Amino acid sequence: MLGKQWLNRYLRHAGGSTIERCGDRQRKLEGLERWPLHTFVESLPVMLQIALVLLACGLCRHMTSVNARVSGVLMTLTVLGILFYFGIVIAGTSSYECPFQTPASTNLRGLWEKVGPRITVVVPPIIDALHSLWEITLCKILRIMLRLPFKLDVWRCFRRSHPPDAGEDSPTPLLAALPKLWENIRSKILRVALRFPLAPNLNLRNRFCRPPLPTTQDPPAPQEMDPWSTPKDLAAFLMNNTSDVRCVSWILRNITDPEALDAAVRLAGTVRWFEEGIDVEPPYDAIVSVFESCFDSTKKVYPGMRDRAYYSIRAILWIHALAKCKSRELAQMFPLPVIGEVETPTDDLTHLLSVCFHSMDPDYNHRLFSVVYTIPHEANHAHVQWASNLLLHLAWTERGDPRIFHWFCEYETTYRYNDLDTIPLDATLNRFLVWCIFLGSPVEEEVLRIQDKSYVISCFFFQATHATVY
Amino acid sequence: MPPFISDRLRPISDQLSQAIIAAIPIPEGDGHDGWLLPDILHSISMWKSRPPFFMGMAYDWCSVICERPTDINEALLFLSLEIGFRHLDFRDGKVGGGRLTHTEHHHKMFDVVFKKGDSEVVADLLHTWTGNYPHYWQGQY
Repeated sequence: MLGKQWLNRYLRHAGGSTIERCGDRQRKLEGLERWPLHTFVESLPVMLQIALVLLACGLCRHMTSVNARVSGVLMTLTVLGILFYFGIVIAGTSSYECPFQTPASTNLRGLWEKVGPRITVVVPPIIDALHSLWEITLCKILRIMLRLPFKLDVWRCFRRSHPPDAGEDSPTPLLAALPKLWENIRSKILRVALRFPLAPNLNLRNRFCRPPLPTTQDPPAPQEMDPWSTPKDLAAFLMNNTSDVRCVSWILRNITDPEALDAAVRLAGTVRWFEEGIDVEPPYDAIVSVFESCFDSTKKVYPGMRDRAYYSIRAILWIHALAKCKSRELAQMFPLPVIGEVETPTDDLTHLLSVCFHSMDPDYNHRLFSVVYTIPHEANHAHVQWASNLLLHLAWTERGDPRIFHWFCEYETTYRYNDLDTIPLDATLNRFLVWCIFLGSPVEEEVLRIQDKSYVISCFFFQATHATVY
Repeated sequence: MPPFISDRLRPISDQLSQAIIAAIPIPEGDGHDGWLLPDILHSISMWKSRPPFFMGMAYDWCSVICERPTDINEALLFLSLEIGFRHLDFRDGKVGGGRLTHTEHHHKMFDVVFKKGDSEVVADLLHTWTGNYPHYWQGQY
């Protein structure tokens, strides 16, 4: 009612000319700002809430002396109401977007914005100090507890060397059972202490439980891999991917610096282009022009441009493959460039790819491997390199599948490239890595990423007509 | 690209060596697939040439194999010796695999080799001695 009275007075016309009314209104406005009307208006409900709490408290107190059951119900309701109020105050304080705002939460948030930065500077050292103090105290307690059994041992030795006189009383049954009791206590202390996080600091394990001697015969423990991302990680990945897509597109369209272009082309072969929909327009033409600029008129790679050609064709094939995953029509918007012509069909991988593509085998991995297996005996460097890439890819991605191991052994017995001088070194290294994988050695993904020429593997996701670009 | 010139060759080869060492069967072990490792070693032994540092790696394998005496490990030992030393010709002066690291277990290797009595394997073993002093054939000793 008070608030309504105040507002009515503010809106009331004082009469007179327009200029006088304007002057009067301006004076009221200035007074309203000078006297914080909004604070008083907002404090009225707070007073009502306080009055309600006081009334509830008084009612509870009164009912305690009248009826205990009714009093219990009232106290429960009062406590629930107070907890609810504190809950909405905390919620309103924690977030500005929270709709349950109260004057208290607004004031608390303002206070936190002023005081919070100072507290956040002071609190962590205090917490660290308390934590250190806690650790020191625990260490001391544990040391005292651990010394007790040794004191008992010393006492036992003393009693052995100084047996009680005949005149002394014989030990009571309780004293006789004491050593056994101590043994039990000691074993329990040790059991607890060894599980304690501070046990390494106290060197407990070395003191009481001798670890097994290290042997060179222990095989390395297999790495446990968790292939699943948490929703939080996935959301972060998608956000980073979106920013990467924008960044790469902008650099490739606007920057001419070669180093920036190389970095962008590298990234273009890894980001997921159509994750947000098919409306994304990759800088495909720019990447193709980068790729084509790596070759001279005779379609040979310029010296020193091999890496750029590799990363750009990887990006091209990656974009094409991702587009093909969406739709065939979308893939046609990103046609593959043509570099070089195939002289003889047997040297070309196209027919091998077509074998894979037209195979009716529903097992994709078997189709993939059958292409490796059909490589002619008079294979050139590209065939060997390509086959080794596929083998590495299969061995890594399907290493849990026993059939892959079986196929690999078949391949090894059929094709033995013994003259290392005549095959690409990368193929040999791929073979090494495949062996490592099958022998159970953990292979770091970074090593694979360097070795894996995944653009060749990507050819399988579409019907490549010009796969001679490697 | 000329053969064996890559900054990735040595680390990947070392990793392969570690994988082979870990896969060498253990006496009273839990039944490792025993035929993959001989097959791999056989594949390597069939190469016409191999990087020089394979000599030291193969010698390390010999030590571990002798440390773990099993039925299959004798064949692995001979294959390792073949990989490390059979293709070498110290007279050309280009052998530079570095000093070999002798361990206590290599003593057992000599017993096994001479007990076998195969001339090729004995020759491989003799190469391990000369392999430790590659300049011997150049008249510097």
